[in-house]
Amino acid sequence: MQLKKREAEKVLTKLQMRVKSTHHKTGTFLYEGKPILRARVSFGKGDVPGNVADKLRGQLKLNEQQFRELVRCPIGYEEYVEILKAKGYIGDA
Amino acid sequence: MAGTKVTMTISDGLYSRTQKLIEAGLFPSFEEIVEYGLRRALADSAAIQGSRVIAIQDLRRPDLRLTAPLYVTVEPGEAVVVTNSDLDTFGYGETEDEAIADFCECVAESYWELKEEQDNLGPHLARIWAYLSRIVVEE
Repeated sequence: MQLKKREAEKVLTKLQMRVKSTHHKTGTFLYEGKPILRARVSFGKGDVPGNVADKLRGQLKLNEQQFRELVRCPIGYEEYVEILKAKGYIGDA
Repeated sequence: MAGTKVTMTISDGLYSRTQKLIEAGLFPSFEEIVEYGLRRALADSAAIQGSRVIAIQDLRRPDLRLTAPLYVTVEPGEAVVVTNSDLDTFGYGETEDEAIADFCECVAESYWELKEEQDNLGPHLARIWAYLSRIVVEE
């Protein structure tokens, strides 16, 4: 799906992605202090190209509908954690 | 939105099904669905043109060296995207060279960050670190 740069930034803020340095291109999704996933957080100038947005969606382990809902707002941090738990990226322990 | 205005005629059935998608909240507007369809067609077209696999042998950095070639998929499209699924990492740019440079930078960032937290990683990143630490050495 096509993604505006500000939409991508909003998503990554919502997921509380940790970025170690302002010049870094990638960030880390943490759950209870544990690094779970890494994803692109920097997208240069202009809108995010469609095929790049697809790759970001893949890094976040979301299907197209879940990614759309993440961008449009119904999915927040807690809902995202539940998705990752259901897919086995976050363990119960 | 700036751009070219297009007028089109579609069948009643297609219009009705499209309206249902909008009412279901999957898309906010008819225009977005059309734009999505056009972008999808462009992506499919890129896929038909074909992606290819190349080997990267140098991370283009003085501090890290590959011990084995790193195979990446180069995909043409709206942007050139270079991907390695074992590392769950991609880079992109207007040209293949830019995309490879961007990819190498992302791999290096991952190396240093995962190394720092190697004892506290979730299962997905632990698997990536296991692979990354085998194929990358510090100079």
